[in-house]
Amino acid sequence: MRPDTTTAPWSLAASSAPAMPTTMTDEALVEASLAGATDAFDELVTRHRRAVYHVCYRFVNNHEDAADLTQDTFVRAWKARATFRGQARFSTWVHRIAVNVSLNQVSLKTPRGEAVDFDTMADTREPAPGHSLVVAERQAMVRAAVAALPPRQRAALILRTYHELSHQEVAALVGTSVGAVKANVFHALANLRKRLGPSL
Amino acid sequence: MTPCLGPDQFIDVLDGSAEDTAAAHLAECAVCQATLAEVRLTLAAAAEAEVPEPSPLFWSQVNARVRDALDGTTQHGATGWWAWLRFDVIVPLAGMALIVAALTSAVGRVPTDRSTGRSAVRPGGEGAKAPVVTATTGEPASGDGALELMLDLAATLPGSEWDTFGLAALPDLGVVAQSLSPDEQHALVVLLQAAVDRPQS
Repeated sequence: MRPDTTTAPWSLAASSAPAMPTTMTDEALVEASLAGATDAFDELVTRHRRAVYHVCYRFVNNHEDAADLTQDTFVRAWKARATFRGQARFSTWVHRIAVNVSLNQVSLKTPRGEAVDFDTMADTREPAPGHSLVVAERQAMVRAAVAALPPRQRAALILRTYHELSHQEVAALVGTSVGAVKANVFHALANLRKRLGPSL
Repeated sequence: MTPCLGPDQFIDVLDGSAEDTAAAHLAECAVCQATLAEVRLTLAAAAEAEVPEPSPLFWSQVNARVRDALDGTTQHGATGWWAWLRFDVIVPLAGMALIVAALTSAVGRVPTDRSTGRSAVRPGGEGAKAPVVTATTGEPASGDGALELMLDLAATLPGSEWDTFGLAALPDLGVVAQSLSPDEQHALVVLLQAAVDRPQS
């Protein structure tokens, strides 16, 4: 996951305490946050917010829900930080929390998603002048189609395709077998093919 | 020819981890070749669908939202029934409880008319304690004489108003009021004043 290096303009650190050194490792920041340094956790949020947001967005396909899930992910990470033992990288650990939070959300409700009409969005224009627009529209269609997949297929495809987790890791995350993960990925792709049809 | 590939075998082929038998079948089966081509094409399309970049301002909002949520968690960490033990909840509840306690305890202590089941002496009736009428100021009644004043005023209400405020079911308030504590009397005054202040229907 790509760390987010954008500096947060707000922080307790900015007003009342020295900022956490950005050279500190994630693990050291977790240790500091366990000792009560909220600005250390703020630095962790800054580093991983983009990757977490991307995970969440893949599942729900809209900004509002993804923002809520991102917040929820970090709140849960804060509450569970004492359970972080350092066997895995913090990025992996918080990634798993994001996936679980997103899976819970997906199982609770149908995502709002971007408004995409599959029947009317088949693009027939010349690609040259509006090529980027065409690409953007096609990507929007794909994201919407992914978000419309059944939850297990969606989870398997997202984790395998966008986050490059192994089948074993995906299986552990979603609580199923490796064979089931592979089957879910295959059926997810088959369903995508049906939905996207000639636009591919 | 061996059976066509199953879903997991197609994924193994995409991952480059397929068994030799699967590869051998694929070399001979046009159906599986077509399926693999479609799956590969779809996977490529899916892989290139990037997440739209939100506003740059959003990233700092993430930190702010997390901080706000954590502040709320810290300050209002109690999430069970004890989370209700807050000043803004307790005070109104305590006030309501006081009124209910005062009125219900009064009901149990006053003799009722056996024929009607109601108070033997209604406010303003023959048996009512003569109220001490003091000046009405428009402010919430309180202090010595306030209860008598409110009882006297309330006695002039039509029966429908008594019913509205649940007072018709109570026994003689003038007698009852004498047995109440100062706090209970004040609560009763508040209730009576609400009945008096209510626009007459």
